Amino acid sequence: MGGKKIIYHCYGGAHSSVTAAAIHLGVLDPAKVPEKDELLALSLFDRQTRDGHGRLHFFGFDEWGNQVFSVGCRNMGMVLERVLQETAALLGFGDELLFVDTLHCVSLKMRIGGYISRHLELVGCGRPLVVQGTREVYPRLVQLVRQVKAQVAP
Amino acid sequence: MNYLYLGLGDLYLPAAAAAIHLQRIMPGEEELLQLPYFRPACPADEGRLYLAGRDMFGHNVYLTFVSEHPDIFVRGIQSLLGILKLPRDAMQVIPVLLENPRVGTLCRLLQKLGLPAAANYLGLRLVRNRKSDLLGLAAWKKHHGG
Repeated sequence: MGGKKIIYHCYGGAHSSVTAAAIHLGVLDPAKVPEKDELLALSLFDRQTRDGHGRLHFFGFDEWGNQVFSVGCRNMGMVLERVLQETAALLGFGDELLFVDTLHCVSLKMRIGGYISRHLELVGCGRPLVVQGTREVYPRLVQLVRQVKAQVAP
Repeated sequence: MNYLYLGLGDLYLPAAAAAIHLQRIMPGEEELLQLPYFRPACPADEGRLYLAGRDMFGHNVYLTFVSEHPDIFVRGIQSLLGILKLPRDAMQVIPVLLENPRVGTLCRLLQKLGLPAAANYLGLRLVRNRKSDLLGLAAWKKHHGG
């Protein structure tokens, strides 16, 4: 089943989708909650800006050759998924995209921290909160990625 | 090559823009009212790509609308073309945006109140007010020396 494009999406494309993509690719150990430095070492973690929303960010290939992406959709995740799926289908790539919404794994702490860091650009205040929140919901993200991998495994 | 006219909160402007693209002139009001997608947008339409027709060069012309953040969709489609290794004009997105998205809401409200003629009248006014913008889009002129 290799050759799929797995697209993890969330509101800002800066926290949960990036973390899920890293878990999927084995950059983060699913068995161990990552330390702050491990999260901050991920490209885009708490770095995505509004100008990057909508842009599919390539993270790498998984063990079966699927490409893994993340994207921030603000509150338009379902609509963006529909538009991109329909566009891909019209262009003859209908079966290649798999969208995975990570927003339901996000806690209030992550939302508040993400808002302060990304929207208000008060990184010093928001980042510690969003890192702590991400560590707390990490098992949920691991579980989600396990389900996705079970779905795409050959 | 495909074209996608992207509206913000309404289908009137993208439907008119697509019709201008296909006919290469501004359609009359009666013609606009006959177009299948010249109507108030409903939530089920959001993000659906409707085929308006095929232009004289054989390119498909689509239209759709989104309720917010059209910039995300433009970037999303361009980005998708990149990862599919397709040229950027495989799906050329042309935003046709309402200056005030509340007008789209008003059209939907009129439709819900059982006043489709009033909604369509508003749609025609929208198109008339943006006539020069719509003609200026003239996406077909940029290709094939059209």
